[in-house]
Amino acid sequence: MICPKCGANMTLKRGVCDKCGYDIEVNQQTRKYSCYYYNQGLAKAKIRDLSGAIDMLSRAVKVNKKNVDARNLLGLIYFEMGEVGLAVREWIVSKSFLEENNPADRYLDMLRSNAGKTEQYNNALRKYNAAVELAVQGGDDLALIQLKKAVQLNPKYVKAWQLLALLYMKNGDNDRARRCLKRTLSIDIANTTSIGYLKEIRKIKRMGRQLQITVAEQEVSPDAEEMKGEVKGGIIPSFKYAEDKPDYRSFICLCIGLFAGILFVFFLVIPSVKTGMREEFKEKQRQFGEQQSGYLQELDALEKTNESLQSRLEMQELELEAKKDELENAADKAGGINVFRMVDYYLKLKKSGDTSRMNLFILQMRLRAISQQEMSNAYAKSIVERVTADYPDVYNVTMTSAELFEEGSNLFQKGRYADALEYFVAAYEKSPDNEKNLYFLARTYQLTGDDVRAKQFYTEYMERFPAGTYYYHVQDLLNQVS
Amino acid sequence: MDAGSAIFHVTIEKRLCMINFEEEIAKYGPSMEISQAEEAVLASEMTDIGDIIEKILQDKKDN
Repeated sequence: MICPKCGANMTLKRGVCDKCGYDIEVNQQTRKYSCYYYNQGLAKAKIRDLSGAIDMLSRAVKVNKKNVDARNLLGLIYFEMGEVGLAVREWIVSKSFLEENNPADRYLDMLRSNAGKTEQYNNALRKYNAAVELAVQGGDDLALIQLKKAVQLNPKYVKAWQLLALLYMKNGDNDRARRCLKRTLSIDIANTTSIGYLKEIRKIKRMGRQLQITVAEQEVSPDAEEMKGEVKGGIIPSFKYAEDKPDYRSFICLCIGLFAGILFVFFLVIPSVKTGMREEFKEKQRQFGEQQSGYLQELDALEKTNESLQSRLEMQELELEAKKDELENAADKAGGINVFRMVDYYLKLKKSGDTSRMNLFILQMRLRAISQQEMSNAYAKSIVERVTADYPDVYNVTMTSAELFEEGSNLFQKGRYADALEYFVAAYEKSPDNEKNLYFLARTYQLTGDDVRAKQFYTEYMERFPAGTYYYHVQDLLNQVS
Repeated sequence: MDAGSAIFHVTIEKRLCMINFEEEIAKYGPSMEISQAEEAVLASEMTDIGDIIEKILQDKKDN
């Protein structure tokens, strides 16, 4: 074994160095205690009891100055609390005992490499020292300014926060003092100085509240002696403090007034408003009634006018029909019935302006119905030319048998048998093998009074469709027209 | 709180405080600056309990 003092070889049996006489047992004991204190300090540092950790680690290095781990940790804790100078001192001493593989090297290199930050911490220390001097001399305001700057430069500077809190307390600003102290406790949770100051602040607050209550309950002149006992230093308040008792009478009066107001509104205001509204309503109702009767009279007059106009229109239509029939008969006699019918439809088409496929097809059918004999008449010929000039596409329009049948059916169901007839004729011509076309053609002829043609087509139906849907019905109808 | 009662309260609170501010402020000593750290190392006495015990034993031995 190597002697820790002189470095010579020594045997463990003797326990004493042969060269320098150093007692190894003492060394071992001191190392043991130093390690114990180091462990204690480390445990406290882990839970942020930094003041407690400093105490333990200081003992550790006092027992064994060469406890490098304890010194390094002590330096770190000083640094954390803002005591950068003390931290550097511990690390330098640690380095002197162990030059190689020492973490203190890394800590010192960090400070050297961050020169700006290091200078900031140093400035904080200088401002704190200046503040201490000013506070001792009584310059509290200037000291406060310096301390505020110090904590701004190093927010973890515990002593600066504590001195700041003390000065706030001295000036009566306990709230600010409390905030400063809470800040220190966040860094060092069991700092006895901060805890002591906080207790003081709480005590002051508590006693201040008790005094307030006591003063409020007492009269000034008769109870001055009693109050002296409550207040240390014999301070007697010079003004009377008494809280106002709640005034129930005014509250009751207010309630009565409110109730009277409600009654007044309910019994006087509302009925008169209601009466006014009722009168207004009656007036409006009367005006409306007058207006309504005026409208009704007008309506009656208009209805009467309408009726007379309707009857005149009906008369004129009847006259027109009569004229038309007259003309048709005349045309028939003159051998121009088909021309007449074509012109009739042409005029209707012109009037309606509805040039749908169906309407043009009807015009086409009527044009085709004009016989050669009728066309020999120059007048008839000019009319046909006029019509074809107005509707040049009239002969190009085509309709299917089904479309013609459907249109004819619609007119048949409305009772317009004469109009339906030409659709059924056209449908039959397009599709003569369709039994429905044949049946409805025959039936429509019968309904329009043309029994001859009706009989002709009924007979054809029975011959061509013995198993047809309408066979037996056609048999009955044939008997009717025969 | 009006001005009159505020002054009253501050006065009371000052009187009620148990801390002697002057004494307390005097407890705050200056902090070591970084530049002073090296000088402090040189000036500090590096004697621990081990050294003291050794000295005692040496004195005893000599005697």
